[in-house]
Amino acid sequence: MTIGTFVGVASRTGMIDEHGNLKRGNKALFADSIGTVIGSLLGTSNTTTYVESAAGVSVGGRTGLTAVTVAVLFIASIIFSPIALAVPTAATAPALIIVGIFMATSLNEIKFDDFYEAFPAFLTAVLMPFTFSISLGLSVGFIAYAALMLFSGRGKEVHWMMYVLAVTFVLYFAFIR
Amino acid sequence: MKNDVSAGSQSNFFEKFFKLSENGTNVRTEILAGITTFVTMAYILLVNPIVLKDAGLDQGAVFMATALASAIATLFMGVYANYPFALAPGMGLNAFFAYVMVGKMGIPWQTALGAVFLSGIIAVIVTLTGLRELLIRAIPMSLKHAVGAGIGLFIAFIGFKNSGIVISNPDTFLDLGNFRDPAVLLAAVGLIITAVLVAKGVKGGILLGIMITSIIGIPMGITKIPASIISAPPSIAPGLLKLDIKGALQLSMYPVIFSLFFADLFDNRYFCRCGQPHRYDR
Repeated sequence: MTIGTFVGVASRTGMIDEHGNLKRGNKALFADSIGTVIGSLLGTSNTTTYVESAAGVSVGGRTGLTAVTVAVLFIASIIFSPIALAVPTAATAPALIIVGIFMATSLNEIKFDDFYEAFPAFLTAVLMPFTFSISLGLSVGFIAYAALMLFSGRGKEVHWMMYVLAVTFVLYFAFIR
Repeated sequence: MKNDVSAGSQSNFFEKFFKLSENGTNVRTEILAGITTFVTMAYILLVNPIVLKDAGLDQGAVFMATALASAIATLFMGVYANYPFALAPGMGLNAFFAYVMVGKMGIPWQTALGAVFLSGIIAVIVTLTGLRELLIRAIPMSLKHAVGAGIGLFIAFIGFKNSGIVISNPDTFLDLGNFRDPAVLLAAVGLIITAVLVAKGVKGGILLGIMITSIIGIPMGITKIPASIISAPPSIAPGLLKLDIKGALQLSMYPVIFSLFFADLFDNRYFCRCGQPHRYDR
């Protein structure tokens, strides 16, 4: 999605400190996590912060009042349920494809001329559709990263946490799956 | 700071609570920004019920859950964190829920909801303990971008598959669908229409694309005309508090819960150091 845009907009508007972090980031992350818990109780999959928020920021939205307005509109939209429920799959499929394109733009951030970076990143991304699973693509990509770095003598550059994750995924494929 | 006279006392409250002038904004600007963000993301109200319906959930109940979860979470973000960020059920994980957890792995949707709950609890704990920082630092930037891009490829594939634009073929695994099938044709037409709206930078282009495509689908016999434009809200009961947390605590569910937590973590990439501004500006 438009994460880069978001950061770009956010940093221009003073929402981001000199280190590139959001000033009240922990509060925002907490709200984000609580959202998933609330969603599961109500009966929906993981709730998350939308990059589409950048649209409001780009026209001047700076505070929680923008968010409160969005919340009110979500409540108000409930009366239009007949329209929402009449929409056929053929009409929502384009939305999935186009949001997919937005998300795929982060391929731009991967240095494909550096094979150490390209190999695990490529496997992670393409194995998600090829294995029909986000989690399988992610696990294989992480194993590929740790293995490539370790066996080509750059193992020290890898954070220990990545080895923990990679070994866990290997054990999962070897004994559970 | 010119606000409507009639809204004077409320503005004063908003001004103090949200620190509007300190942030160089006013009530009018904030409300317009809220409308803009809502219009841009409201497509989730139409898409999420269709995706989660395929997991066996009641479509009307998912519509309600989507609207209410988005409203409550966004309200919390605004009031507690005072940020102009809106939340809703994420694209990607809804597809993972319906087509991988329930469809491919055969997990009952109630148990899958339990797994979503647990992934949220883990995210809360990890955020409060600062472990989230460690995870964000441990994973190389290129892999974080790759996960985001992969989720994009995944949901695009779901879109192609569900619309019949891409079909299975026993010899080659995949093939292009049959455009003489009206539903496939409608999806292809809708894709072009939505692409034009998005390319032109129309606000709410995705939402508008879905609506136009649905209307074209009426004479084609694909869209059923709704009995009314507005009505009393459908019941949320079929999905409300139906989550099975105990069932989600089985060992076999751990990788799935972990995946949900992880993918959700990457959905929040804009909270950490990352990326350069790039082309799309919706």
